[in-house]
Amino acid sequence: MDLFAHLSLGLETVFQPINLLFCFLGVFLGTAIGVLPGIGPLGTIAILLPVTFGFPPEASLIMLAGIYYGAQYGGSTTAILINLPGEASSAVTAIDGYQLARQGKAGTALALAAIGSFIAGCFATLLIAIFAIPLTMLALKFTPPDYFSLMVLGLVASIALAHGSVLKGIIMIVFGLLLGTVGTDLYTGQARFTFGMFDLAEGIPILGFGVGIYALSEILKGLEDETPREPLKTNISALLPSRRDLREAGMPILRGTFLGSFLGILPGGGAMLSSFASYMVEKQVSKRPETFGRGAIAGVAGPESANNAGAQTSFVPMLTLGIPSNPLMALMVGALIIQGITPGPNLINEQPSLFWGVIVSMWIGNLMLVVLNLPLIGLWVKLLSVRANFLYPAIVGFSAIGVYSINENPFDLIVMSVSGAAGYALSKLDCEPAPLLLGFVLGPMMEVYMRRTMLLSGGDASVFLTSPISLGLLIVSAIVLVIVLIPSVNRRRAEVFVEED
Amino acid sequence: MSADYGARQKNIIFSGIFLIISIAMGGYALTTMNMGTLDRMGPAFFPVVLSAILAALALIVLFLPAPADAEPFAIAPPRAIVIIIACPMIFGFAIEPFGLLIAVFLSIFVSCLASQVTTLRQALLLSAAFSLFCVLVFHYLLSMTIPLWGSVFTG
Repeated sequence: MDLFAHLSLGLETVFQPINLLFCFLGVFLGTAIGVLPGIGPLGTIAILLPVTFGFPPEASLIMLAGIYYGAQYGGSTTAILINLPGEASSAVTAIDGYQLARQGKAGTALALAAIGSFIAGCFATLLIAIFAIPLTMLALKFTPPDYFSLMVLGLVASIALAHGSVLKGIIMIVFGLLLGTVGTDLYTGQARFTFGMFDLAEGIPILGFGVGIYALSEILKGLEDETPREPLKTNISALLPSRRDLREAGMPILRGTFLGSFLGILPGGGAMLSSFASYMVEKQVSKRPETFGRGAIAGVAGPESANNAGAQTSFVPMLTLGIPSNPLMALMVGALIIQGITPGPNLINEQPSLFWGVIVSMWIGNLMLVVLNLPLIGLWVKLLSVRANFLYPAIVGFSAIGVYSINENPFDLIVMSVSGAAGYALSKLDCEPAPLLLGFVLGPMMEVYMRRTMLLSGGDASVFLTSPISLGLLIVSAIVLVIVLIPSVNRRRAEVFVEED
Repeated sequence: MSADYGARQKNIIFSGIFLIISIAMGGYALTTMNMGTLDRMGPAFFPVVLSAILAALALIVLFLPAPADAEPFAIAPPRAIVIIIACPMIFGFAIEPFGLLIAVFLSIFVSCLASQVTTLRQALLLSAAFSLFCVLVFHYLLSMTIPLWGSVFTG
C-alpha cells in the first residue's frame, strides 16, 4: 500500500545519520532559544535560518522544522513556568499552565504538554501521509480564482487569532497587503513605491520586516518596566502526571489533536489559531468551566496538542500548494528557494524523499522532544533565569546577524529598524503583528492570482462565485467572518485572554 | 473616565495615521502609475483598491466607541526606544567597513545601554563575550561568508 511505502521512504530519509543529527540539533536549538523569554518560533527561525543554508535540502528543512516545533515547545515552558509567553500560541498555555505551576504542578503541566504534543505529532504525521496525495491532486485542479479565494480564507482566519478589535485586525491585513505591493510590478516591470531605491525593487525584505516587528518591539515592551521579576520558586520535582491527571487530559488531547490537524491545513491557520480554538472548545465542553484560568488541566493539554498538530499540518499548504499559511512558512519557502527547490503541487513527485523525510522527521523530532526535554527541564529552567537585561543585547546581536546574512545587504537592517519602530507604535495602538505579517506575505500572491483571474475571465468578477472550489472557500470565509463579528462570540474571545482575576 | 478618554484618543490617532497612509499611497499610485482596466489591471489597480479599503476602515475606527477593556498605556523610556531601534542600523553601517567582530560588538554594546540596570562594566563584559561567541559560532563553526574584518582593515 502507498501509505506504508511513503512512510518507509520518509523513515529511510530521516534515519540517515546526518538527518537524524540535524533533526536533533534543530529540536535542541529550537527549544533552547524558544525558552528564552521574548523569542517565539518566528524569531528563533529568523535567527537560525542562515545556519542551515550550507546543508543539503533535506537536512536543512528537517532542521528548520525541528527548530519550529522545538521553539514552540520551548515557548510553552516559558509560559508555564514564568507566565511569559513568547507569542500568541503560548499565551493560551500561559493562562492555565502558570496557575498549575503556582499550585506546584509545573511538572505535570510540562509533562502533559510534552505527551500531548507527541500524540498530536503522531496523528498529524499519519493524517498527512494519508491525505497528502489526494490533497496534491486537488491542488493541481486549483484554478487562479480558487487560489485567490483560498488566500482570502487564510486572511479571514488570521483575524480570529488576533485578540483585539476585529476591525483593527482587518486593517492590519489590508495594510500588510498594501505593503506587499511595494516592489517591481510582475506584469509591467514598473517599480512601485520604491522611490528610486534599488534595494526596494524586490519588495520590502521579509526577514528584516518580520524580525523588526516581532523581536525589536518585544524587547521594547520588556524595557517598559525593568523592575526585576520574582525569582522562580516553582518545584518541578513531580514530572510524572498522576493517573487522574492523565484521565483528565485524555479527551482534551484527542480533541486538540483533531482540531489542530484540521486548522493547521487552512492557510492562515497553524499553531496559533489551533491552540486558541482548542482552548475555546475545551472551555465550552468542560463540565467545570470555572476552573479555566485557575489551573485547568484541559486548558494546557488541549491547546498544547492542538498547536503541535497545527504546526505540523501547516507544512501541507506550503509544500503542496506553495502557499505559506503563516509568516513562519514564508520563511521556510525562502529557505527552500535558496536551496533551489520551488514548493508546489509537483514537489511531492519531484522530491519524494524531501517531502516524506520532512513529514516523518516531525514524528521522530517530537519523540526526541519528549525523551530529551523532560530530563533536561532543569537546564531550561536555568536558561530561564538569565536576566532580561543581558538577554536583549544578545537577541539584537543575533537577529542583526541573521537578517544581514540572508542578502548581505545593510539595507535589510534599516528595514529591521524601521519595522521595529513601526511595530512598537502599532502595539501601542492595540494592533497585532500576526495579521499584518500574513497580509504582507500573501499580498503579492493574491495580486498575481487576482490579475490572472481577471485576465482569463475578461474582467468578469463572477468567476469567483461560479468556480465551485472558489465559491466553497468564499462561503467558509464568510461564515468565519460572521462568527468572529458576532458580539457574543467576541466577548467570549476576549474572555479567553483574560488571564487572572 | 480618563481611561476611556485615552482609548478614544488612541482610536483617533490610529484612524489618522491610517488615513494619511492610505491617501498618500493611493494618491501616489493613482498619479504615477497606470490603473489599467478590470480585465487588464495595471500596476496601480491593486494598491489603489487596497488604499480605498484601508481609508474606509480607518474612518470607521474614528467613530468606534472606546473599548472598555483597553490596557493602560505604558511606554518604554525614550532613550531605550531610540537605542534599540538604532542598533540594527548601527550593525548595518558598521558591517561593511569594520567587519563582523566590530559590528557585533558595537551593536550589542549600544543595546546594553538601553537598560537602566546594566552597568557599564557589565555592558563591556557582555558585549565582549557575546561578540566573541558570535564570531566563533557564525564565522568559524558555520563558516559564514561575512568577512571578519571589514574594508577599513583589509583595504
